[in-house]
Amino acid sequence: MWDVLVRLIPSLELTIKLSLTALIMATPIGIGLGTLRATLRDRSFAARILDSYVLMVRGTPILIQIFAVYFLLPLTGLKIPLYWLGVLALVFNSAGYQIEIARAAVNSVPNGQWEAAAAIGFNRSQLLLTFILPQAARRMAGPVMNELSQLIKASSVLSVITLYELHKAAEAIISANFRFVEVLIVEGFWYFVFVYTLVMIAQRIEGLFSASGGLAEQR
Amino acid sequence: MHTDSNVLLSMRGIIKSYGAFKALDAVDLDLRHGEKLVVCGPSGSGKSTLIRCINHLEEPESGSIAIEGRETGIRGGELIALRRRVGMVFQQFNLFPHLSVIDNIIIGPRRLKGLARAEATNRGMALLERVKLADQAHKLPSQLSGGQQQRVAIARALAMEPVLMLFDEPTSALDPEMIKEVLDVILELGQQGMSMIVVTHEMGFARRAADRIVFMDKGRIVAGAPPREFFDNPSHPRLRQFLDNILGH
Amino acid sequence: MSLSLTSFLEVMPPLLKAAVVTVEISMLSLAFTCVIAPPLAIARMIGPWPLRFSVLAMVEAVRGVPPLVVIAFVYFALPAIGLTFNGFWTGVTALTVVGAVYAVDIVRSSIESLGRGQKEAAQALGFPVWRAYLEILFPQALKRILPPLTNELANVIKASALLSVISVNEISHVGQGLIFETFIVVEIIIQMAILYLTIVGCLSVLSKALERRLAH
Repeated sequence: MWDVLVRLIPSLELTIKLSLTALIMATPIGIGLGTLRATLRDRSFAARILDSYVLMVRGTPILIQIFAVYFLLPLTGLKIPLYWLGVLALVFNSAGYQIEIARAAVNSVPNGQWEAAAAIGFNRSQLLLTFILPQAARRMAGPVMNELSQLIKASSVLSVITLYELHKAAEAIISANFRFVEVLIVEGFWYFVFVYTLVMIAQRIEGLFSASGGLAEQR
Repeated sequence: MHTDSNVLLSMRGIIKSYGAFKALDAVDLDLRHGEKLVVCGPSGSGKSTLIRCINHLEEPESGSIAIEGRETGIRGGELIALRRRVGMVFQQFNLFPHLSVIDNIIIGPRRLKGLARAEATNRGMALLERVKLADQAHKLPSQLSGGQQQRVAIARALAMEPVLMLFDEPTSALDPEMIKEVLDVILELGQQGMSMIVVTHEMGFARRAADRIVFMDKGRIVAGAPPREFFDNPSHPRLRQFLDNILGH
Repeated sequence: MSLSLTSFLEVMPPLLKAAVVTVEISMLSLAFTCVIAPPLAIARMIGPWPLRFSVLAMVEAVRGVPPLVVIAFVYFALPAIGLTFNGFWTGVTALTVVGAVYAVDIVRSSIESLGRGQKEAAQALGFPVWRAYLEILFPQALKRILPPLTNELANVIKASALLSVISVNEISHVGQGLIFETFIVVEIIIQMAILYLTIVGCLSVLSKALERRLAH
């Protein structure tokens, strides 16, 4: 078993790279669009577009989203390396969830805060940046950490487009030596270590700041 | 161990700790049939813990508890049988919010004693009459005031036909105006002969309703006497201090 | 990229047939989850220590790995102890495991959110612990369970897409095959997305209706 453990490390690295890169790209998008969404009227055009995007991401399997990026993007003529196709698919997916996270976090800042800052004389954007976002950010930290753990699990689906992340690598080892149980247990162990740690950290962070319970959502 | 047939409840040497904190420090207590006992004392003195040990919602580390001469262990069947004969009314009422008032009252007799719906409902309505809430039978707990909810809670406990009723600060969570209606019900219950232990701060009630009042401090029973002697001639300095504080303002 | 209606219609029949498989697998998984989750939840809450710990360990283990690994495990590793399933039933088993594990946690946290007093009141009347949970606490928790449980079922439906890797003829597998066969990429992907959205959407509607009935 130890040999499998070690042999899987390079692909584990790829899994982490994929997930982290996707997170780093998706989080600003999520925060930006989510904050925007929180300030929009529900029936406005922009709000509906954002809501449709989120609905699509949350209502379809990530595999379909990966297919979409994998098959459709090359049709536009752009030659994008496989790694980035994978990352983009994850970003597309994660941003959808993070819009919800950010929106809920911004909405959870009490109305009084908006009113007080406006009464002093701050305009919309100053108000947002100086007062609301810092408060919302505290409520986002836990869910974003949880989101990273979700990304690590989701990255396994990239095996379908032959990216040699952890799951694909494990598959490859199995097809060579047929040691199903052993390899799967080791693979599971690697995933578990990272996912569980992140989830625990997320819960701790949420515990520090929780007013009305967690915003983190399971995929 | 008391074998006096008049003794309903007998507690000996009850010890209960939470970590380093001793909530109950070797407490002895007896209750006779038909006796009405009030337990009072400062916060943290162990009064709630004591009565919660009687129906084993708290588990004493050592000591023995006997009801009607039979020692109560914690073995499943015995424990359940015990709880069906001892009724408890909680500070927070704890009515079942998803059931109507009458359903709250009859769920015990129906599910645990196998009573038919009609029979159970009749008895339940009679109990509601006793606590003067017959017209609220089909309301949900959320639609009632605190005082009304607590009276329903009393009826619910009575529905199991207990031999002993335990009241854990029954009026502490109520608006001042509703305290009287609940205490009146408890008083009447006592006058009709129910054996009971009431943990409370309501000294006026204690004076009128109790056969005996017991004062606890730091996990021990420090003084106990019939009301007149208890109030007029407090035996322990701590009790004197307590009474001064509570009655003086 | 141009969309053609003919292509759209050409791929519809096979995809619709595949959708039926997706729904079948999802519904079966849900049914089995509903059967095994409550006892597991009760074991997790009031069982003897070793049992509680085992359930907890199993729940955390399954939640900590991607569903693909669970599927692979059921399909490839279980035969080692004599449990061999075909693709379809591997799917049902794996999805039941994944779903039940989340369901156990959902049930547990919604019952805990009811507070200690309810359990004590039931016990004080003389309900044995397990009956207190079953007859007094569960019914109250039911209303609170519905939204997260719906979310969980939606996840199961989405996870069924992963069964394509073991060649189950559900939507994703058939769709992928069609793409390679016919090169009708855009229409197929759009249709697959619509199919999933519809299935998940119907679920949402049903759940809201149920929620309203429970709130009577």
